[in-house]
Amino acid sequence: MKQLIFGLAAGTTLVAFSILLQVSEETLQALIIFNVFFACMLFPLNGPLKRKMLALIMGNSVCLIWNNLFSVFVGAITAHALDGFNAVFVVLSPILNLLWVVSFWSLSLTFLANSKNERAAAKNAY
Amino acid sequence: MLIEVLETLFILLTAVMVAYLVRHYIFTITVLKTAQKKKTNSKTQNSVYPPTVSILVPARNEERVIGRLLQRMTELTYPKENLQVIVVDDASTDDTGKIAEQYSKAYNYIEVVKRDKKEGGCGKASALNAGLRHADGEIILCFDADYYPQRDIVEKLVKEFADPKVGAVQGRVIVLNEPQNIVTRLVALERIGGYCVDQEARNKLGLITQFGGTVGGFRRELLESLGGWDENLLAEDTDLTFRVYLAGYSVKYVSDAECYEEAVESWQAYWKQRYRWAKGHMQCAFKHSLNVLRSKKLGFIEKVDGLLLLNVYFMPVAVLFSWIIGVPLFFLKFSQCLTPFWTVISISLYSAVGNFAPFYEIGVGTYLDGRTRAQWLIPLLVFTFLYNIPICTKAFLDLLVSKLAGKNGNHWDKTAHSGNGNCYIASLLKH
Repeated sequence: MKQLIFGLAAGTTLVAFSILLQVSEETLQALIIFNVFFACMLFPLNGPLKRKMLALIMGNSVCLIWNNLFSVFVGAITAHALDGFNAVFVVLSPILNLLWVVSFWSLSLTFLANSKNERAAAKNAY
Repeated sequence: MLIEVLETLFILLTAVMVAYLVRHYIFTITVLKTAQKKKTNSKTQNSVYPPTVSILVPARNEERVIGRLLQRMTELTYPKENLQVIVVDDASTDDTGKIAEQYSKAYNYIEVVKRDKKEGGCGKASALNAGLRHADGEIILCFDADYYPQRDIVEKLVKEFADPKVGAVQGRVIVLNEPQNIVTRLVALERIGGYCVDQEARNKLGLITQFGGTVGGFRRELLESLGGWDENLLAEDTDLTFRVYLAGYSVKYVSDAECYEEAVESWQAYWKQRYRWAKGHMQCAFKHSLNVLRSKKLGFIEKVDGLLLLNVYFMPVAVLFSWIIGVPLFFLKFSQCLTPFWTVISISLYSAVGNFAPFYEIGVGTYLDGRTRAQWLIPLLVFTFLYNIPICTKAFLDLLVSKLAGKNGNHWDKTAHSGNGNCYIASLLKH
């Protein structure tokens, strides 16, 4: 529980820092969702707090880079008279964000895993 | 008018999908919460209840794997005087029967039931019923021919029958040939989510724990009173699960009763297996949904979970239909009741919170299972989900056509086992 609160506090701080950087509305939305998710789904698991914090900071960096690149891409397309792409962006953006969030969360789980635990106990039963 | 109907349908489909996604979260959080307590109290109890047990092994053209299982049957620690192993040679055209006969001659508790082409080859349920007629045990367990169980698995499974309310038990299935290729690795992840989270949570919450057709069994009396396996269905295991619950008994999941299986190795084999499961499950949904709703033996929560379980293979079809309906509704701006603001918010929330749920479930499953690298492949499960959409849609349409035509339309497409899992057994025993 303490680690969850710590994770949420750290996530809030990172979001506040991003606001100071004047990120776009879409990026801010993605950052808030990522931090709340990451804090709720990784911090309550057993594992060193340092690794969780490192993963959280890396995740925020990936989120900023990903969303900035994507908004530049969308801007470039809409500038060439494809206004309808904005509507596609509304649908695509959360789905594409989901893809990297899932990938990043999956990788973060491996940070927490301890190789000594790997099914050794169960295999002994055979 | 048409737009309003489509909108209502879209909202209904989304509501059902949200129910499934919420279920994923409830199951995962339940398992996470109980995992810590389990660690402190994980000593297995010694069995003080040694009933007579009959193990049924339906086998059709399994020469590459049957020897492995029968050798394992001779190594079981359960008292052999209380054990009977029945291999049902279901009209095999290879050496399955010969291999089984060799074991039968060497070990008096192993028997072979031969079925010729006339009576055999009609599916697993038919073979199991043939085995049941020869079984003497108080408890009937089933193992598929490609399985490789723990030595003490029988003790672990049957001890649950000491509780008279338990009608059936289910052990855990682990993929033996996981490192073989990407298909087996993804199937292994699905299995981890299914057993470490779904089954575990259902067991903890007292919901509908599913009998998976193998690595489990029944009280003989109960099984006979239910009329054995239904040969008209492709998912005879799900059907029996519901008949057990509707009869007032429960199914117990035993997570430490582990058994390795040889998973499908190609996308074609995956399609065939999942098509059979999907169609069979849908048949069970048609057969049992009303019975579940009307049952006086099931509580409200059990009914809800039972309906979600019965209809789970309709979900990929529902997703396809909601895309077909939702995308034009959104882009053509026909939507009357969904303003753009609420549409954007709901899409964002659904995509982020909702779609993450199955990944979260499997991720937590791998974490609790002590895996260190399997998690890396979790994002690729999106492809298996997309692959399940045409599989389940075809199963649904085929079932509808056969229902309308008044035909059974069942064809048991057996999963072929290559025996490639044999090479992993040595490494399994080394650890």
